[in-house]
Amino acid sequence: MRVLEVDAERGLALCCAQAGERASVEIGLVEPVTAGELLLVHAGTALGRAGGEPGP
Amino acid sequence: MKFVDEFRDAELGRVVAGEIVAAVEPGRHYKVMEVCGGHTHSIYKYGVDDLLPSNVELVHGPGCPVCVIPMGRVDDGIALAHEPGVIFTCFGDMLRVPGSSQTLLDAKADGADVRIVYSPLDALRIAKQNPEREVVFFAIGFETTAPSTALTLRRARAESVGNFSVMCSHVTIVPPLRALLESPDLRLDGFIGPGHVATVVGARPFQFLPDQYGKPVVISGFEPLDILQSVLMVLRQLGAGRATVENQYARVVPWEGNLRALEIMAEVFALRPHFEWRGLGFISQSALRISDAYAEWDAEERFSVPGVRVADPKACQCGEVLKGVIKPWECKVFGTACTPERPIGTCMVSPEGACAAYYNYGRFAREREVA
Ligand code: SF4
Repeated sequence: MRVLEVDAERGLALCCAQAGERASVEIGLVEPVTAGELLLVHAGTALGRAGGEPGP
Repeated sequence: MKFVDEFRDAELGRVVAGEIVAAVEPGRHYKVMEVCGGHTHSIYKYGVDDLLPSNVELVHGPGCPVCVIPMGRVDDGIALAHEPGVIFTCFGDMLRVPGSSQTLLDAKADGADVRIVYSPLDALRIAKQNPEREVVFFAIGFETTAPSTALTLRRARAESVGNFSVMCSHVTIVPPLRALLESPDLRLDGFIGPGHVATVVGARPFQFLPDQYGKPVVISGFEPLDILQSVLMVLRQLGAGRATVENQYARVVPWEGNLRALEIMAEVFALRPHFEWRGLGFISQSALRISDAYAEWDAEERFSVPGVRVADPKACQCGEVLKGVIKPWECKVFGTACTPERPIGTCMVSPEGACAAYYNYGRFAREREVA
């Protein structure tokens, strides 16, 4: 999901999925994050970021 | 979108498929297990196996969170849902998982307050909005969902939310893989490793596969091209007589995992000495319970649950599907008595279950092939 807005105080970020739906995501495990980053989100919690080297 | 579209490129897919054909030895049959239900879903959805030569067989593994929950555990959840004053929360997939006499959906129809949540944090929110009620969250899943439960419990403690508790049924991926490799009825050549679990635990926990069993493993992403590339990487290792852990999904999976997640999980959870898996029986140290420090939020401490072991229905062959011993369509009740609308077994419930994935996508390709 792509980060739209960060609420660092509450450890949450407003994120947007590929299909367009938005959700509030817990970012405690990947902080700090910035708007525009792509996160891997499971059960409302960001587990990692899709920022490394792409495969092909 | 970058990171997605390029991994669904059909032309690139055919190029990799050609490289796979070049990498296999004719006359040798390869069995590669995709551990994770997310991979199984993609394989059927995108017809990945249609691109593979006939001597490369993908075997579906036990990594579908809903599929592995035993019937007795579903009954425990239903018993909690029927407790007076309880709001019972769970992921949507759990609603239709059959218990011994009913599902959570039936319990809801009988008047139990069962609510679907997208994350455990939503359950905590419900608890804060309903201080006069007890809110229980049915936590399931591998190391991908356990961090979310752990963070939620930390929040519950920090905010002193006393009317919230978790029925913890989180499981871990390594012990069932070990159990599968020890079982005599399955011969596997290599593994497609679970990319999302590895985002949390890293690649290192899979090192036992090459070190102790001589099996190659490639941690893989979930797009069709990811899976094809990972199959190719496994085949190339086999061709070179090598066995090691490789990370095809390096754009997401750091080698060491998410250390912060591991730390929080170690604080909030403890290993259970053993846990029953649907169709696989009891596996030692394969599941998590709430740690003593968080016992106050443990639903099994707060309420009494039946905890009765219930045998799977006779017709159900989910155990064999989860072990990769049979394909979904080889189960006698597949598509007849057992469908996604009226499932008998768990593998037909979740989109990550091999039977549901095959029922929804794969059977059409197979019907074309057979016709
Ligand atoms: S068809 Fe139904 S009963 Fe048979 S293995 Fe699949 S889910 Fe289990």
